Amino acid sequence: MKFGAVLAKLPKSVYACMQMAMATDVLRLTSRERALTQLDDIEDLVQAHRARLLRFVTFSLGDEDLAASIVQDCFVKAWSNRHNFRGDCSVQTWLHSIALNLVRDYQRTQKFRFWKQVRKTATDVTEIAGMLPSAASSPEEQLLARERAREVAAILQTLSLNQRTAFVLRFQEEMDLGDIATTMGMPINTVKTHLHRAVRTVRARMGGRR
Amino acid sequence: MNFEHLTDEQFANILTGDHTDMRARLHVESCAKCQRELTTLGTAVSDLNHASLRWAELRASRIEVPSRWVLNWNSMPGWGATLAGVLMFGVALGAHMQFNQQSAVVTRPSHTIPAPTDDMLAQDNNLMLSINNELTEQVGGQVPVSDLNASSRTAHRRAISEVSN
Repeated sequence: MKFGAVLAKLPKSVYACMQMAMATDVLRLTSRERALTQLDDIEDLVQAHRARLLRFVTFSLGDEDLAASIVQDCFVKAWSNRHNFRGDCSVQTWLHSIALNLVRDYQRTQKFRFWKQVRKTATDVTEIAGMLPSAASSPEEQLLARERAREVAAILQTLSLNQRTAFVLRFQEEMDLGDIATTMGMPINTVKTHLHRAVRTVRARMGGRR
Repeated sequence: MNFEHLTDEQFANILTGDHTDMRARLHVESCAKCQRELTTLGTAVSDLNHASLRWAELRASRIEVPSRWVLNWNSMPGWGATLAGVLMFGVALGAHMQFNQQSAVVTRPSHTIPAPTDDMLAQDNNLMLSINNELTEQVGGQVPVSDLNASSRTAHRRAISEVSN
């Protein structure tokens, strides 16, 4: 019996489900191919993602020079392993997960513990907050806005790595909880817990209720 | 109107964009304090987001595109990298040993004394013989050493040693 004849005998709902599944597979394949093309061009990849990755790693480690070095490693690793990219998530999420693994690896080393104490190239949160575009109406409001941004940045440095990562990925990278879970390699509920604890700390230190 | 302010969890949910909790939503709509708190924190986070992205865009220029050599080296399988490392080590070791041998060949002549030739030995022997003859003439007259008795030989040797000293 021919395949077409088999399909014709199937109930309409089953046939529709099969079509939908095939379409999903085709879509996933297409998105993977598109992502692989994007990953092949290392120059475009670096240009498109380096700023966001640098910000993410800088907030994770609190050290600008170290962050630049890790972002460079992240691109090398991503390009070398681009054939392992399955297309289940966006390239941005995948790159962030590689960067986070590098950050975790680095934090485990003795070298990091030593340099954390020295912190010669520690990022100045005031400098970051000073980059705020002057959209506020008056100089006083601008100053207040910068001070609040600086305060949030300073509070983030006191959080644990998981809490900080969840916070930064949610509010800076604007990822949804599913993507954050993929990036952090954790269940969504664990991510929610880290995120809630981070928000609670920020809220309490910013003068809200405890 | 619900006068119990938002819990930390409700606050975090609303801040992260989760508006499924109807009770929390209704409270925020009616409570100026919670509204203000949400707005203040939301604005601060948003401001930090803009400021940090601007900062990162300025600093990101220092991150260069990795060179092809680095990319290819990292994409090489583990055994390939090991083999390449062993080969490079072998080549470096060979070059080092060859260099050492060359330098040894170059430095050897400066430390060695050339062996005397037959002509030089003959010249030395002639010189020594002439000296000996002169001394013999000065000390012992015309009497050959073989003709002297024991006491004379002793006196003869003493005289030679005095002269030579």
